[in-house]
Amino acid sequence: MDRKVRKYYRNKLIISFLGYFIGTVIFDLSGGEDAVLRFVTAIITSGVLWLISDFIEYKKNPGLKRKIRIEDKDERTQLIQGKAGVFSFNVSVITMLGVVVFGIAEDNPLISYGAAVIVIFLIAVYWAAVHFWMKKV
Amino acid sequence: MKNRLEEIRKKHGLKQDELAEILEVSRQTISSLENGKYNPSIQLAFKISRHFRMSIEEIFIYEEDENGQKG
Repeated sequence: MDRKVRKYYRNKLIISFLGYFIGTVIFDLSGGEDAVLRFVTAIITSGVLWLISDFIEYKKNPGLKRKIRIEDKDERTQLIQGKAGVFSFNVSVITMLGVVVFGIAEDNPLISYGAAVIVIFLIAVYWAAVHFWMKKV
Repeated sequence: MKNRLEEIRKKHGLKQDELAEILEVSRQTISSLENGKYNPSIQLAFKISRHFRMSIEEIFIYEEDENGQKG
């Protein structure tokens, strides 16, 4: 990934956390107590900071938007993302199967059934996505 | 699949990031192509050949391995 694009994404991550934190602090300092409103305030603050940082970044680096677009649609990047996605999926399924076994060993049906439902859901979504793209491509 | 991309790029006095910019791919894609780690899509192969005004066969060398598989 290009150095400037990597920096852009790193800053975005920092700004997201910072915005969430600032939003929460502002909400608490203004005497708010509702948890949903606190969350909404944090998300909105994060979003506003995103927009401001985007505006500043694009002003500073006029070619950045194009670089990000190129990186996003780069065919090698997409291939890597596809492989990483399949790998992550396999690891997730194996981990959840481990949780099913753990639930059985601990004699906790809530854990084992819950994990089994998640495994079935993950596999169902995967196959639905595969069939969707089989028809598309 | 082997290729002569590095040689051709240097002959045209281009840096990897300059060629990447022209072809609208990342610099790492050009690097991986030159190292033979990555085979391009047919679209990118055409883009490269059109840019250098050469045929695809002049840039990319199609070869079969010992098992008869193409690569």
